[in-house]
Amino acid sequence: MGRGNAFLRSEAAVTARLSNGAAGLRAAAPIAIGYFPVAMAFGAAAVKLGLEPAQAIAVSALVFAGASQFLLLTALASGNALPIVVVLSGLVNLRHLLYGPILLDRLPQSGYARFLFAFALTDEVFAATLARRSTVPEKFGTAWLLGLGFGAYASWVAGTALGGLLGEALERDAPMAAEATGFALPALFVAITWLNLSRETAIPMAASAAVAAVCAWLGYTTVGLFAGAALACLIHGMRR
Amino acid sequence: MSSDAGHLWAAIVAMAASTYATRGLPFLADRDSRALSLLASGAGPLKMLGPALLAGLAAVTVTPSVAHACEANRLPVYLSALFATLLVLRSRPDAGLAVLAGVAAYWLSLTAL
Repeated sequence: MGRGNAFLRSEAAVTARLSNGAAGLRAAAPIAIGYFPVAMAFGAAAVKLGLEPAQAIAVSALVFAGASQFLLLTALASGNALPIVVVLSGLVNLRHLLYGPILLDRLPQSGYARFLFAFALTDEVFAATLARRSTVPEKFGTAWLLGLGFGAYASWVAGTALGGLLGEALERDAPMAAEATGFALPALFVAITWLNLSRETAIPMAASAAVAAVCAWLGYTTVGLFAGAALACLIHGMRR
Repeated sequence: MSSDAGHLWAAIVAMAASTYATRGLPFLADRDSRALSLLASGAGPLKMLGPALLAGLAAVTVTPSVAHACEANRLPVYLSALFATLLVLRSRPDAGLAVLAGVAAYWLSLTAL
């Protein structure tokens, strides 16, 4: 009897976990839909710049950060030094340091769940988790978090694979469509920038963009990025 | 493996490690630590550094592509794609959809010309 109850309890626990995981995957659906075309554009652009499809897929599977990955492509296209790209990527990703502390009180105690979830903690996954925080009062289940993270990650890697594998064929058979996919990179940066605009950030961001654009026009891209960011932080500090 | 490929892989691994570190390190900190509280409050230069760099990256990506579009007589195509991207962003904060709209508008304009 006792053994039967234990079996029923464990079966109920497994069912609850599966159901939570499925809910996490459902919550990832809008992210996955958004990620797929961007990841395809990344895969196609990476192959166009000389990476093997397997290398492009590996970049997405290991890094899983859109801005950093497209930054790598701009370096490959412009011949910028790779160490500078690594530093810039680290600086761009500094904003991720803010996400963990904001979510910490609602994450499970389990270390493995936190560190697995951390791998998938992109801007969009953070936003989805934050949205759930305002509607669900209890701690997030491990299965829900991993379902959410996996859904986003799988879409990103699958999109890259498709873009990488079809990119060359697209170039050969549909050159206009291939040229159009080249617009994905500026469009992505414009979109991410737009989504970070707020009353508080607008002026510093405009200053940063202006300095970076002028320097890029003159051929000093890296200097422009650092000088623009420094000016933005200075303006932000003076306005506080 | 050639030296260039080796450097590329080293850069990729370094980018992956630094990305994971920024996402995972806060989970290692003591819950009551001052640094964690400061990060959670979103104060300090870190709050502006990310958006400022993104704006700068957008500028350094768009600037040469506009110059290239001018040289290739593609400026109307480029601007229509940019307009479509911004139009979608105004109505829905979805980067994926906006990129899709921009690429589609670019292709349609290119076909129409």
